[in-house]
Amino acid sequence: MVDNLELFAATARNDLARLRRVIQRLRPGRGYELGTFVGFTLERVEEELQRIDNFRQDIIDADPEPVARERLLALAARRYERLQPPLDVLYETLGMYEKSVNRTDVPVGLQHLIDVLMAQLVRAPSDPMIHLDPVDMYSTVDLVSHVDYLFERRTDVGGGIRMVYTGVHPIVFNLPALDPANALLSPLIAHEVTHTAVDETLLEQLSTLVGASVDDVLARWLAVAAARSEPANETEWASVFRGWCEELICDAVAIVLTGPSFLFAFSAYLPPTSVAGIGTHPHLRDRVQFHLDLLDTLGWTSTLDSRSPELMEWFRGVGASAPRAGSALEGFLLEAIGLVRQRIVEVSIDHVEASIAPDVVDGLEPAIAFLREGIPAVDAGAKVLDTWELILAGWFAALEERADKVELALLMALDDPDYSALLIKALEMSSIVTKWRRFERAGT
Amino acid sequence: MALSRVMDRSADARIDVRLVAQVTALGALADDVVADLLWAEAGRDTLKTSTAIKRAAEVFEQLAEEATSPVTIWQRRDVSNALRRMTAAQAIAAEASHRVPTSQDPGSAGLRVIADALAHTVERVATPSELKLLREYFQAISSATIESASESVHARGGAASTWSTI
Repeated sequence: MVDNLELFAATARNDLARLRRVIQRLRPGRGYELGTFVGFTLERVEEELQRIDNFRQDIIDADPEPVARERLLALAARRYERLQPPLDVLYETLGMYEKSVNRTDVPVGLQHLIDVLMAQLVRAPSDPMIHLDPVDMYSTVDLVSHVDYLFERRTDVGGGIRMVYTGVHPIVFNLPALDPANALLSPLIAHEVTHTAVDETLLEQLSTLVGASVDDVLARWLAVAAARSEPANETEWASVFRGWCEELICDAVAIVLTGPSFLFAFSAYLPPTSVAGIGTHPHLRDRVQFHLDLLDTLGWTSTLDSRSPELMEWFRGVGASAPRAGSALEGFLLEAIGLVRQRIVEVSIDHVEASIAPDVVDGLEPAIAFLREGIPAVDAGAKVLDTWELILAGWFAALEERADKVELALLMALDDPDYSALLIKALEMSSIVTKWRRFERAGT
Repeated sequence: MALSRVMDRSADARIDVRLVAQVTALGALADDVVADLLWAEAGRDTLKTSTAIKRAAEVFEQLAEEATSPVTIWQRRDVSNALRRMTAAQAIAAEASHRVPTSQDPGSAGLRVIADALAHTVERVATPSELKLLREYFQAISSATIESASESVHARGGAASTWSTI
């Protein structure tokens, strides 16, 4: 006997009503598109509920023989039950981010920085919101990419319906709750924003450029694993490889956009472990080497060597000393990534329209001097410094101040809330001056 | 032991959200197939026009092909990965194939039997035992996918840990 049909149907309807009440109380402001998007999704759930209701009514009207009737009613109950996990994800999403809509407790300079990043890296219309995460980490998510995906019916081997939301995407920036506006760490946010672009297009572009060459490498190393009796799962190995490509694309885009600031922020925030192991990201030391190589390609090495010779020596030592576990999986990943590295760089450079170049550094010297004096720098002569020029000036000033501390200077620079507030103020003022000059030009 | 702040946990959890989506999509397809088969058993002529069975035939033909031929490293295969773990369904299909699954080929024989039975149903030449096999198989998929989706959502704390991180 099917004894849970009514309850599952009522639970789904109850969940819908609860979620509707939440989006009705959202107020216009940053992140308001969260409500629009969730409302759209709830309409799809309502349609699905109606289909299941019709199916149930059909069973009652047809009145089939008892065994068939029981099986059909059991199926109806399962159909209602199937809505539960996606609704649970939706509930948790709204519960987590409701308070981040229209928030006014973060600095304007931080919000401006995020707006700049969105314009530079995310092509589709988006509505960014800041969420203060109790976990000390940086992350972003395009909520449409996750929640929308949960309610579509298309499998990765074809068939089914693709749900496509055409409205503005709410994008969440999860920042460390206790220190969300650490200006010197803002290049990490550039890495995170790129994950959205990777999901949509960049990984596909990379796969088109690389083709099937990595498949041979995979097959060869799987054979090595078999010969050594090491555990090996082709699907898992492929998944780790794709993940590593994604992380390196995000690193590369962040470097092209923000310059050495990303290397400094990365190494300060993620001290390089000496422990070998394979995870979902390439080894931190290998990533530092990747950053150094890309900065060299972009022409930064001589500037960095002359400004921070000891720090560069430390970076080079870190990059050259990644520990190895010696497994077949590691062998595969290192060889495969080596094969696609250049393409990763190409895809990343192509994606960034306004990259920062080494020749800006001479123009930053006045700003660096001002920042060392505790004065927010905004322009260099007639030119207003843009976001990443300001952040780079901020890093150079902080490192100059502590040049004798070598790698410790990175951490000491971060651990200065007053200095971070100064940089955030500089970002605010830079945005005001930029808008004012645009206004003046429009007037003439 | 050195401490690292690389957030592997979160990257793993992000993958699970996609798996939940794929598992849910597979389960919804299974529900539709079971519905048409049950109505057919109850006397309705649903198999003639069943879009669910046509869709399932395409999906499982592709899965059966992929199980025996190499696919590119760039291709996500969440559905085939998820199916591998649905042991009850795999057992039903494997028994019907009269072959013992091996470690190198845990499910391909069973997938081929299911793909063929679906194709025969679309062509309206399926035997009664094939139709019974499909109902049992997809009923098992229908149940297993709910369990799998629910476990994935609740085991990791759901959406809270599914975001990409540095």
